[in-house]
Amino acid sequence: MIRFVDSLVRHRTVDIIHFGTQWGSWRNVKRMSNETTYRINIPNVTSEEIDGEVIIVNLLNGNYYSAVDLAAHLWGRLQRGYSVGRIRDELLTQFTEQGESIDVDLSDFLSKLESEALIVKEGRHETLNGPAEQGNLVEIEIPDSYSAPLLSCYSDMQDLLLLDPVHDVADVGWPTAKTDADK
Amino acid sequence: MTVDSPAPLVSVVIPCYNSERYLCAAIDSVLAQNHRPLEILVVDDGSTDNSAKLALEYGAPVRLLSQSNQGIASARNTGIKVSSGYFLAFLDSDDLWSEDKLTIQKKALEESPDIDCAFAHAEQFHSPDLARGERDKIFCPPGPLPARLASAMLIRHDAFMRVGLFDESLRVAEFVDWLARATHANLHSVVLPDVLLRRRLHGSNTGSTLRGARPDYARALKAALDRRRSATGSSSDEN
Repeated sequence: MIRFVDSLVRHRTVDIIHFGTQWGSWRNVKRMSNETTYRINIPNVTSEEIDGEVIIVNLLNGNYYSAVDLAAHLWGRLQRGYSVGRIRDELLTQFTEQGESIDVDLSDFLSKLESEALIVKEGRHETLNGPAEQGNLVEIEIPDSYSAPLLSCYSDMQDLLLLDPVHDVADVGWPTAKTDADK
Repeated sequence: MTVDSPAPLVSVVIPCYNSERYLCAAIDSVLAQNHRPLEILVVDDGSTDNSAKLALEYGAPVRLLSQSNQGIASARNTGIKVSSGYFLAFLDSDDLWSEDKLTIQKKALEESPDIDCAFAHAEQFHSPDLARGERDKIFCPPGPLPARLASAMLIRHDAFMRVGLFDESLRVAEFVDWLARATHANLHSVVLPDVLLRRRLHGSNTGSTLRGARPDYARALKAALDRRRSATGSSSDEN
């Protein structure tokens, strides 16, 4: 039986500690700040929605990714600069019975995107170009039924994508992208 | 092909667009190959500089083809359509081959008849004419990298045609698309450990000047995923 403990409830941050099974194993502690906002890691990450599927290309690591359904919808929200809290609220409103799952699944999804360098926390590149530089924004509606957002990752074209000719660098060096404000 | 057969003709297609600065070095690196015979097809894609004039000055085995500006995929296809070699190779007009590139790759293909095309490793370098400030803006990966690129490929002509021409609707990622189709067509390839391509980094590399065309990568990769899913009859295709 899983016992849910809400150990600290602050104004903006909820720490969720999951106790595992009756054998007492711990699951990961998930921390999400509702005010955290992410930005797409342009210009080296590009994405396009085609026939309901979002294809994301990361020229930094040569991987490409597929997101459909809820994952695709969330990518569109991240493109628009929605905060974690705003995204969470939207999900909780749509999927009223999924509270615990949403916190864990959303945190996992955002962690995955961040670990793949597809998104960065707002403020790391204050002068990043705006949405216009991202190309087309994803317009996929939130699905009617809930399933965890999933990101599929492919590495079979790494050597080609890594050899994309030019990667701008900032004064701090690779792999930070030089922005228009820096030039 | 037996030991006593005449050496096979290799067709080399060099597309160019306003490439006067580096084109001669590229052509020279092909002429320096220790393989003969060669057919070098320079396809001028509507240049407004002296690219065509420079190519014309070479004479045989360099042949100039000219067309209005339609992109690199179209330029390569124009060269392919008139090529007559047993083997087909490509070289971007700002890159360089090592002098034994064709010999090494041809040998690999002749020793393994089940292999359709050979790639190699590539070394990237800052073009010496880059100003210091420009150099600092362009990252040059240290060391050679495996290069499944058009400029690093030698392929049997009939194997190339089995896959088909380059997709002219793509301004960039045309080789990503071609390679994905080649995989789908069960083309067998090998990436040789030899560094046979020197890839020049400079301010006007296509990828930097056509940054707005980057959605083409997503399009090419989506098409590749859909082909893969159709082949397996599944939507689960993660590798």
